[in-house]
Amino acid sequence: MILLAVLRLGQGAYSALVRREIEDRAGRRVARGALYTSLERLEGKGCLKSRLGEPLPERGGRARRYLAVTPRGVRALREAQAAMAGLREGLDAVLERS
Amino acid sequence: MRRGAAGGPPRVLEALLERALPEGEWRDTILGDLHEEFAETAARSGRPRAALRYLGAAAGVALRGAWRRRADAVGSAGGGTMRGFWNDDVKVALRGYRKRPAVTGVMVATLAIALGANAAVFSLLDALFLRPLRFEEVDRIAMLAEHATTDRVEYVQQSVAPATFADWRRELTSFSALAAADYWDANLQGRERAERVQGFRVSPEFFSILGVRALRGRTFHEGEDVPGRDRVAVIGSALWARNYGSDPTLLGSEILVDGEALTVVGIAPQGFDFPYGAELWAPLALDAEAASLRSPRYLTVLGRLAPGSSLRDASAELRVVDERLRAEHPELVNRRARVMTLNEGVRDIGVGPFLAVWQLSALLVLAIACVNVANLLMARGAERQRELALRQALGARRGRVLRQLLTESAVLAMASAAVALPVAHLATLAMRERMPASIARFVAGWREIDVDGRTIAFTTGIALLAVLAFGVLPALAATRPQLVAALRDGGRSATAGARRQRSRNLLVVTEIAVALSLLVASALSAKSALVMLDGPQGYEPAGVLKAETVLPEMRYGDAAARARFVRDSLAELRGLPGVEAVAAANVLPATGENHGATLELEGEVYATGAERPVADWRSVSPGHFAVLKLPILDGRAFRDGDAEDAPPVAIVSESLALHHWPPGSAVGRRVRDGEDGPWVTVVGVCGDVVHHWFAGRSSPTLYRPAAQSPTARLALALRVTGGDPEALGAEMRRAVARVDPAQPLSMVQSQRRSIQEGTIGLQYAAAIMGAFAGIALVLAVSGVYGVMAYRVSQRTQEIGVRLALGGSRRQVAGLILGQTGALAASGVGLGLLLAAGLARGMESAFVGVLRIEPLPFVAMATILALAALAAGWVPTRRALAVDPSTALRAE
Repeated sequence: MILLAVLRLGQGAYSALVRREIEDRAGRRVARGALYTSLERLEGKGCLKSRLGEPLPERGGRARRYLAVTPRGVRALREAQAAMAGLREGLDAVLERS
Repeated sequence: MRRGAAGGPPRVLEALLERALPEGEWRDTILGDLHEEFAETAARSGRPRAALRYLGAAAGVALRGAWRRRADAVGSAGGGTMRGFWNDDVKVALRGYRKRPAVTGVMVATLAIALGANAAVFSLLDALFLRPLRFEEVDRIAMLAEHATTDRVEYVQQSVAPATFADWRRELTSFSALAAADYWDANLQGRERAERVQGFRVSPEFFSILGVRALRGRTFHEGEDVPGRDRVAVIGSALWARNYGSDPTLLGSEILVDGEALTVVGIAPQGFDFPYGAELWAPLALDAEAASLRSPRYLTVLGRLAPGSSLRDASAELRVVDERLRAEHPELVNRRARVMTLNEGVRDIGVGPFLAVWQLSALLVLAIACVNVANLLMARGAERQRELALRQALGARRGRVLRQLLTESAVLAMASAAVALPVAHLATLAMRERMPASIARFVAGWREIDVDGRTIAFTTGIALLAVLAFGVLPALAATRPQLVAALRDGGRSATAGARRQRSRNLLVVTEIAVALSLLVASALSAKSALVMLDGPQGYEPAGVLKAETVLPEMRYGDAAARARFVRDSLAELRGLPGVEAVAAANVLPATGENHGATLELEGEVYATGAERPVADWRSVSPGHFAVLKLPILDGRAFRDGDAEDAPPVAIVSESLALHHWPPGSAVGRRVRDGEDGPWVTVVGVCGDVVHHWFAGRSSPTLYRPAAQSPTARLALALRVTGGDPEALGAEMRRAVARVDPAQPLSMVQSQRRSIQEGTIGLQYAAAIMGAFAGIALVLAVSGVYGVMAYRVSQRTQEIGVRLALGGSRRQVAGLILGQTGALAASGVGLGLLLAAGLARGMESAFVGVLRIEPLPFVAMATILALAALAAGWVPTRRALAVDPSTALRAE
């Protein structure tokens, strides 16, 4: 979900925006602690990369950390989607009816 | 600017969060995100809302961070356990608390108030006592002092004679450098007006010993402490900004100080104002004669320990050198030298006992809070009896359940600590801002008071201790094995109930006792503060305006010039509107300054080396007694005829007269100050004044006419008819400027304000004790109420039976109130004992200030007993109002 949100946001993706994007799009509350933990793990696994922007006054002089999905992250996404699709096969009728 | 002052979250919160998060690249990202979010919320819904949300978000992130860090530290093997701990114990605890928000809120608030009080006092203790100065490697900086064997050794600053300093500097090898500093009241001729600034004349090594480098320019060079080469100065950055608009061209240009031109060679770094709020430093250049004196002792001596040598080495070496010097110079026979760390040396001597009493009181408040929380937890434990028994029945060991219960207590304590710290921060801020700057500069470390890492660590520590205090007893009680009884539906075990009842009674008694001792202590300190502030001073402070000035040696070197300045200034002041009387004195009461003298009384024989009587010494103009309305009890006041060429005269205070002579026989006797002064005839006896609250009203004082003994240090005073004397302040400055525009007045304020500022420490003591006592009273009463309410509710059925069987309401009420009364009585009895002990401690801490009187004990005991009875009465009345049949059906 985080990777999808980062992809959606493109160039300007950074942590606070990612959180809002997930809340808006998926309609789910995201705990900050969980988000940062996940971001750090995804970066550790090489699915995300981050770079620091310019320090901004509205952040108390701190820089934003811009996020981007790595090719490896895209591959992981694709695999996850494929897995979902595999599981979903033949269930369209059920899922669409309800 | 790193932080936008307007747009950012409260800085405490941000700093706390920064400490809580694990270090690393993500920390800044998280802080930045929250900062940004805060700004958005603040713009949308206002700052308070934003701050609240920030607090919530920060707590969430910080907890997550903290647990991950723990898990990382434990390693992968233990990670599972930590996770289990987190999931099982902490989450269960949080869930339980969320279900009971009201009780939880009360418990958190109770603990937070008590922890906040402790944190605030600890930050005072840390800043004022444990480490008032924060220079680089401050532990390696030492202070050296001389004292007479008869002196109180606490007074260590300004205690070394120049010759002794020179010997030490030459001989001590445990120090890489030694420096001396000499107090200097400097008159600075600024660009616009003259100003009195706090200066110090210091050895060139002074700055390097403290590890302080100039912000601009340089500090002093070796060799600049030689007369003639000493016309240089370093000025403080605040003074630089205030008087010169931080003009960089001031470096290298000349300033006029005490009528002498000094070249500014450096600007001190921001915030450096050691010692005593100094703003101006010049080299200490003693000529050969001054440098060879072994008395008077007026230098403050600092040293930096040489690499490899410890304070112990230095102390041992000093002892050897000191002994040799004593052998060479017989006049040193009664002197001793010692060395201590700089922080020990600058510590305000009165402050230790104050802080000890406060910290003790704060811990007592915490004890009460713990008792209250323990009570609530026990009530809760009784409700959860079945749940806990079930867990044990299903195979949980008692230890496992205990762990769960203690975790719950710890979560409670940590939440309270998190609330307490911002509160403590605000409290310290308020304390810091209320203190007049003129006093604060003499209290080393005052500016450092804040909630910092050490305070946070201390607070967390005592919060965990509190867990032991309030959590263990209820947890043990709740897990006591009695499965069958507890699991049986509706089971009520009479014996367990009695045992629990007993421990609750014990808690209530403790609570009342502790609260009473705090109430008494606070009443005592409030009373002594009031007496010092508004009580008799020995003179009439209302309607008096005063100012201080110091005539510099350069321009007022001879006595005639000083006398002329006094005469002309008084004439100018007399012309101001509404002025009734004017006077000049070397020192006025309650100004924090003093001047003492050693006396000889005619007819007494003094052996060599024997102690002579010491008295406060005052040089006053004839108007002094009229301005202060200081009564003349015998003989006469000074008059204009007591001029320089007239026979020398003096007036003594009543305490001096009574101490040495039979009553009524002082006038006509002769005294002299020092061994070689002229004999002076006593012409009058005046009342005693409170010069400093610590010494009370008993300081023997010798007054001399200003015309016969003009001093450089001057206080001018005038009495006005009606109105606020301070309204005349500007006029007073102008009047003196007409006499000498280069002579600045300082401390222009009413005598009342002087007294108020002089007793500020006492007022702080009273206010803080008052706050503690108030908190203690509220907590104790609510605790008693809680216990009684619980008890009565458990006995509703019994009450119903009693009423149904024909017992009158009065009898039943009497029964229940009798029990409350017994509890209150034992609490009060124990409390009086505790209060007597605490009061005794305070009496020795505030020598001569605080007197133990019976009234506060009786009054506070009555108040507390009545409050306890009221707390018991409310639930009793409610129980009695219930219809007996309803009560019987209740179970």
